[in-house]
Amino acid sequence: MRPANFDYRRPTTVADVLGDLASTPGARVLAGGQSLVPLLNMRLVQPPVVVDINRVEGLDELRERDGRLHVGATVRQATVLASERAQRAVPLLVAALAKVAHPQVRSRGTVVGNLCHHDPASELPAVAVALDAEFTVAVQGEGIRLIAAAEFFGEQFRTAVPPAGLVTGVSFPVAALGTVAGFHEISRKAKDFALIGGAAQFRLDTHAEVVDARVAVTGLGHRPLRMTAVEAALLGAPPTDDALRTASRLATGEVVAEVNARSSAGYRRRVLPVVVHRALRAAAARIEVSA
Amino acid sequence: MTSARVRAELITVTVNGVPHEAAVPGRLLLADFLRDRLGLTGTHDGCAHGTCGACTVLVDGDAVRSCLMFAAQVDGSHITTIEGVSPDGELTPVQQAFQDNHGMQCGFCTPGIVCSLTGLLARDPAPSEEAIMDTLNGHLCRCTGYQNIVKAARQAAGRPVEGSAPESIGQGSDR
Amino acid sequence: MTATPPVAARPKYVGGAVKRREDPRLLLGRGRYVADIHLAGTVHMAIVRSPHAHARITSVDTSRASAAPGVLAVLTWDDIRDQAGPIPCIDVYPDSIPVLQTALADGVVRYVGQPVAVLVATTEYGAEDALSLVDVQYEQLPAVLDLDGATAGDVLLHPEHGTNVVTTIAQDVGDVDAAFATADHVYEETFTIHRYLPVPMETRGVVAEVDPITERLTLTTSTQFPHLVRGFLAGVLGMPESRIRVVAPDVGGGFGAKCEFYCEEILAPLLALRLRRPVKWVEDRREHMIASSHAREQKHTVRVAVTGDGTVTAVDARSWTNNGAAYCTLATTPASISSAMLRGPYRIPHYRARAHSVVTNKTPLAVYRGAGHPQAVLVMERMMDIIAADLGRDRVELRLQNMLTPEELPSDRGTAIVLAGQVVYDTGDYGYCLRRAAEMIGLSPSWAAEQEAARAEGRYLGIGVASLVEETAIGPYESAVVRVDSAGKVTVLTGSSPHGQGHVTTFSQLVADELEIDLDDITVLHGDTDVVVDGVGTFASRSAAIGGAAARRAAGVVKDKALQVAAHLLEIDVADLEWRDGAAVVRGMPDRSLSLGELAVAATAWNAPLPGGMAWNLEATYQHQAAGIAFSNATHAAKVAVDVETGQVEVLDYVVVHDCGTVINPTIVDGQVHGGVAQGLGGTFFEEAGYDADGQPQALNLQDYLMPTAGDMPWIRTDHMQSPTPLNPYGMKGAGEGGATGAPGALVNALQDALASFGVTLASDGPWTPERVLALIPAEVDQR
Repeated sequence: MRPANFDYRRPTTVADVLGDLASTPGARVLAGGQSLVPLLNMRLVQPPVVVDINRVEGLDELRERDGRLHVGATVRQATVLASERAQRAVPLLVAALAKVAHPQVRSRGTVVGNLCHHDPASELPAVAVALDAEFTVAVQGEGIRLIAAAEFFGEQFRTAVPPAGLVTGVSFPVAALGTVAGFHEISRKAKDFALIGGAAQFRLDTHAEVVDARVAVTGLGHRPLRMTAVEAALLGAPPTDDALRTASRLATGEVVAEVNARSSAGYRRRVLPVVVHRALRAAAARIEVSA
Repeated sequence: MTSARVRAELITVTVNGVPHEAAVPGRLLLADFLRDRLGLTGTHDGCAHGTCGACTVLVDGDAVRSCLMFAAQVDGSHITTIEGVSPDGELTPVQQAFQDNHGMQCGFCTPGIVCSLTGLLARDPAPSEEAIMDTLNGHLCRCTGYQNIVKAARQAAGRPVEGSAPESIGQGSDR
Repeated sequence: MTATPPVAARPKYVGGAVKRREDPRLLLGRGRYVADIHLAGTVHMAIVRSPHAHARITSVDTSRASAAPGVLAVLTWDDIRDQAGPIPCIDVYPDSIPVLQTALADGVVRYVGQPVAVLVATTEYGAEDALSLVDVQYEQLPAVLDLDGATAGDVLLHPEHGTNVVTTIAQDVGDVDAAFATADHVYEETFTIHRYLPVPMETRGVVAEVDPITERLTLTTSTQFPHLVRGFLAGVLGMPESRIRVVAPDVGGGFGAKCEFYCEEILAPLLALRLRRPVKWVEDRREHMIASSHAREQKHTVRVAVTGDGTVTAVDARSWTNNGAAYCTLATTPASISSAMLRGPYRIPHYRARAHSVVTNKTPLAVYRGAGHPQAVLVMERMMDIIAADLGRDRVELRLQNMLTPEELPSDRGTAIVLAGQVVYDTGDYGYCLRRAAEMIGLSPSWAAEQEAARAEGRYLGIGVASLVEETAIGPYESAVVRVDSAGKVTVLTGSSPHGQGHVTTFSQLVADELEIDLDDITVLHGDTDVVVDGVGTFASRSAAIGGAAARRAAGVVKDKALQVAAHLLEIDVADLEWRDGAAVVRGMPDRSLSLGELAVAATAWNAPLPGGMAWNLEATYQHQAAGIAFSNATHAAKVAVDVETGQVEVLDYVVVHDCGTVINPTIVDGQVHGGVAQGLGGTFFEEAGYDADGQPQALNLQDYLMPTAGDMPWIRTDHMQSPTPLNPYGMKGAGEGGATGAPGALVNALQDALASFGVTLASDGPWTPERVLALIPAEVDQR
């Protein structure tokens, strides 16, 4: 269980990364390595070139700009999880990150890498879809392309990143004051991959009624799904537990049996409203905290 | 097919306070570099896919899986392995807590857990129960059933050692 | 003569929570496991394994691999067939059909992972690179995986035998048919027990070397029984045992997976002999999941006869064990134990069992912590709950009514266990353990009302108990040598080879008490057949009771000799001496004494030889032979909460009341119980070695094979009682396996209790994943 040979590159500029990627078809980008290296060790992928982007200048920035939190491609999950700025700006991202793997993995694993890997059981894609995240992609000869989360995720383990493109960062809208967020997942055991996971965020207006509800679920099919009917049902009413549960019953979406096959389609369909309800409840539990 | 001739990376790395220079092929795992090149065999390979945690070491203070990093990536870093946790050969409070609480049996997973907890306590000498469990959940042990590991970790963190964890910790659930 | 002044009794180590002596070394990263051994000139072995569950090998072309840079050898079965016999199975019955595996596949592969070819290269990475260069062509054959299909025999693994049922074990006690004829109630159930993997955190590994000085073969291997490996290897290679040294260094867990003799333990020595270089192989985790022994998988159909007052009079049982593609070294033991021990602590005077070992296209199955016990406990304890529920009886009371009492022991149960012998329960108070566990977990008369009240709030709680009697401390014997050096320091050699059990500590405790010396004065050596010439090994919860007894007896012999030497030196009668604080002391004259070191020097003094042909040196060898099986017992009790919206189960509380006779070190016993419970809990809720319909294994890594982590475990509360066995002078029984033995039964009974209101009857050991649990719960249940 050791990698096949590859040529290791460690460029320091985005331009050089793009050059390395363009010069060798099948070259893979190495950021945190927490998804790629197991695949390399099991020889499930055998790229001719591995391009380590960890020394590329400017990719490790975590900053707020123009109403969005920008997370560079080499920003570690642990850094975001520990960031008070991130907690204030994108509480849903932080709530989901607490469910991602373990400290020993989050210390290396990156937010962008997790999203680009696009494991259908992963938590973060649901956050990206729920919040309309935006990916910054560098493409040789073209410059920067922005890809919305709704367009980013393809079939499982695939994204809309063009060949030889590099995702240099992802940005999330900064939450308005009073926004609450919760993430709930069902897994087979403590801290395992999610069988299904729900991301929920909303805000209360001056009448203590829900506005700007965002709900998405991961684990059902190839890509995370927005629960628009649930969102609509929540609006304009106080977030009582009954209201949350009633809205959750509207959760629906295609379940693909062969994707995330750790549990059957029937199981995921049955617990879908439960996961949505509990994610909403986790968000609602924070109302007083943030008030 | 892979070529037998592969470029080596020149790295400079400080391991347990000792600087090393080495030429390493890109695919050489950090765990193998530490074990085979430097003879630091206290870092164990239990799965080589990042699940068991036996190979955990500290890279610039962060607990990481050394089976999921390449030696070429640690150029310029400071690494602490189990052999460097206690430079003078006396048990540190974390290590002593494992002996005091019988927190180990075969000893194979133990170095990784000691490294993780050492890293945690270096950042936060009084971690919460949740932080302790979050750290321990990143390790597999097949001998102890974990109870005595939890006790050891609590002792090292200055917490009472006995009794169930708070309910919120079981099953990783929000219930 | 004046009265001897009172001397404060020296505190005893046995029974004390002594901290482990092996820990500091391991905590400092100074352990040495097989993978840590780097001999000069080492080359690396890698194995080409079958990708098919069942196929004929039509050709093997090694030319490309042989030509690869750094590759030193590539071998197939044809290259070694004259040098290596089949892997022995030591627990066959007289009428067992021999289905033995060879070190490399002989024409047909019968499971995914079976070794087909072996190669050696100068680097570990290079050896793995070369695997893909060995071209093997297969013609696929239909595979059979499940017990029913294999028993039907449409696909035969070994057509020459005409059947896949390769051993049938019979146990017959009393008159079962008559008991059923007069029974008031007859219950019948079929239980399935799934396939587990033992998964020690250290995979297997070997280093084989021809010693350049003696030209003997040295095999360093991650094993539980180096002495048996020496014998197996000698037999397979046709080489005298005296030409072989086997070393077990630090071993990172075993649990039965390393209580086997494997292909790689043959291949590496063969290659070392051929290449005259050290050959190293460390199993990778993927290999471990398919090439190390699997465990547990059985099916049981039981009929139980019960009289109107709740007396269980007879059990008529059939079982089928899915042994995989061939016999392991220990192949029939799980079926043998399950069939011999099914009745557990219950009287049940009439009993019949037929236990079939069946071959299929899965990885060979062998023993795993508890061997056949956990399956038997699950079946019997589920049946007791089923009977109690049907008769409207209290679960604990029904069990107590049928349990053997201390006054009924010893009790010849009329069954037998392969390699171990007749089942004669020795000592214990099974009812005490059950009553105590029930009390500790809160299984009181008010439990049903509590449960009902919780259910009204949407909390589905359940309590389960499982009582067990467990075969431990099997023979045939273990050896020990105790030797005193001129400084009075003691070396203990034991043939019992540990892998986490803490032998250095517990054996030191025993010897220190016998000689009344300090623990630090004792060195315990094990695991090297050149250092410890004779031994058996560590398995079947035997080490403390058999190996420990041998060590303490050897120390006793040394002490007796030391007293004789002292009598000679002091020119007094030995009866006037007593042993105190590591010295021979003249009775009534505490100032007149000779220390162990002084006596050891005297026993080797050239100028003052010992009288009467007394042997030189203070040293003794003792072989403790087991006069029978010692039976430990326990009751486990679990409390669970089921989330009826998701099927997730949380274990809220867990109690083990355990009796393993005299306890040497309660902390170590608790540790053994905790670890066993975790393995039982893992198997009940997470762990499964599944296969798809084509025979492809589904658990190839530790993300697919889910084991418990710290957050999955309840806080385990233990209580001990001690019923010493008369089978050794110190009363010790085995403690290593009881945790794993009781947990599935207790947990499944707890889950049953929680879900009983849905009208379900659980007849499987799981794993009870959220999905499987939710499938038992009607969709309309939505209490919150």
